[in-house]
Amino acid sequence: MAKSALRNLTTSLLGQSFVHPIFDYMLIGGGLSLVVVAWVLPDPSAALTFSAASLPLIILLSAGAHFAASTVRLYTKPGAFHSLPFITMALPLVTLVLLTACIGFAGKLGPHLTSLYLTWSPYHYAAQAYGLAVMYCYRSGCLLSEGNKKLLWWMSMIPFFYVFTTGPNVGLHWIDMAGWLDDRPSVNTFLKTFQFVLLAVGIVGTVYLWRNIWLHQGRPMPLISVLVLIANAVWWFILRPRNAFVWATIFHSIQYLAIVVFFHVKDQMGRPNQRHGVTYHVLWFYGACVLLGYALFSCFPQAYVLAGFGPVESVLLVGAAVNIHHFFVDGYIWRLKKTDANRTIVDTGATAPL
Amino acid sequence: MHQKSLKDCLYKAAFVVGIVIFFLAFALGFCDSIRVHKHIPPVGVTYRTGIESLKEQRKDDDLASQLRLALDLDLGRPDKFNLHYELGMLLDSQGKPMEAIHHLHRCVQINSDHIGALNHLAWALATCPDPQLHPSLRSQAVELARRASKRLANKNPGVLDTLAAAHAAVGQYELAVTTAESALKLAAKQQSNALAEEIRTRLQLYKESKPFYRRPKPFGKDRPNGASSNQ
Repeated sequence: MAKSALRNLTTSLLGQSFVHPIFDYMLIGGGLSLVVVAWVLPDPSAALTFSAASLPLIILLSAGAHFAASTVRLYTKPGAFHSLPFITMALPLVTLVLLTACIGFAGKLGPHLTSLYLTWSPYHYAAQAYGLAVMYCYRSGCLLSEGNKKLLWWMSMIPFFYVFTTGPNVGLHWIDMAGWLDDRPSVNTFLKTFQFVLLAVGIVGTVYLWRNIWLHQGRPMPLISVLVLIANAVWWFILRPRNAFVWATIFHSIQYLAIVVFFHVKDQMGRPNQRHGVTYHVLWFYGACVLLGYALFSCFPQAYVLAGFGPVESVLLVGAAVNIHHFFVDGYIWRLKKTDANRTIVDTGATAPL
Repeated sequence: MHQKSLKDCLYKAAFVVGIVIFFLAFALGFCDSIRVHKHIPPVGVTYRTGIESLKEQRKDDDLASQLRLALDLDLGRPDKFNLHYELGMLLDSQGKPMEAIHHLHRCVQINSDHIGALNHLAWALATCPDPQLHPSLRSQAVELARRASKRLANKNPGVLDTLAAAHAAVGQYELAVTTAESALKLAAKQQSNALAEEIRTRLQLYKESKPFYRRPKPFGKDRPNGASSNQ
């Protein structure tokens, strides 16, 4: 009996993985990123230990492909044209027009586009962490009450609040264009103290949440859900200020790619008359992401240079626009309606107690 | 019903236009990249290639404009030292010493140990021909040049030349003469004949109790030791 209870507890703590516990914990959960952080922390310049030749390729295969993945997912998701007509059909042209306007008036509009992308980015990372945490909870039979979901959301957002309040040219400092904050040392002191308060609230809040779920739901939140939150917090609180954020970008991208490929394969294998195996769909999707990522980041900016715009605004603002487009599309493609076939990936079929 | 079909038509038209423009842009960008790089576009394009191209073509005004824009747009890049440094040197060569001083000053704020930044800022402050430059700023040149020279164990003739100019700028002509003579000896020992000739010219000014104020020189023609030449 005791052995059985222990086995159940272990299974609950481990959670229901998508591929394999090691794969899920290391890549989707962000466990590998924490190992790398421990290696990079003593010497942040180790963040760039890849050679000058290999780093761009690694970034294309991870980050570049991940930005393109939301677009590939959008256009390969069954029923997307019908359910998301604006996003699928009008958004590309709208994005092109807005991007061209920003490049044309780069001096005035460019900094705002960049600040928008840099402000939205930590929110996107936090939302991804929240989504993955909830997904693993539901897959593992740990149903969350509305109250616990809200608390989980707030805990996930803490790294975003940290960057929003402290990041230069981001969030508060972007809104404060007149430099009011910089002229007031007392406000800066308050914001510095606020960082530590946020960190403390995050740690205490996460522990409280985990305990609360176990007490009221009867089973614990899987550790991988907690790991996802911790990894995201480490990326923003520790890596970013130390110029080592390239690692966070790579690991966030790997996390995203793993999940999106899984969902794509599920969709494709569920199609009637489909003839290919899992490997084919994985390689097809990832290959399309890499190609599109290459086109977006390596070829597209040159079109603006050819049109007579400068290289700085062409490269930087195309990058910012691709990011923003990715964030925007991502907000829609992961909304799983009740009729969505992918709900079986996350649902257990039971309803959460209040 | 009519409104719905109009909306559908508009969406479809927007989609077609958007996709066509994108593929056209991709194709043109791909082909132009081959023309520029002489091979398929490299993975991980940065704006550096474009900046280097402007330098090669000596389009200094466009280059300055692009460097300023990079400072405004590359917000995700925490270390803007190189941008400020390049822009400071370029503006100095374009005869815009006050703007150059602003950017070189930012360099020293970012990295107070960088010898090139210390030396170039000291030189710019000491030899700035603009009479509106505040005397307290000229006196900073002495401290900056001294710091740079100390880091090179007082064995770099170009940096000693800067220190001599800084001394002269604040009226310390005796110190300027002795420092310039040390610089001259080192330059001769290292067989830097062009530098030695310049120091000799300036030494004459210091002996006449005159400071050295310079005219700008073309960007990119710095001596390896970092001190700028004039005339």
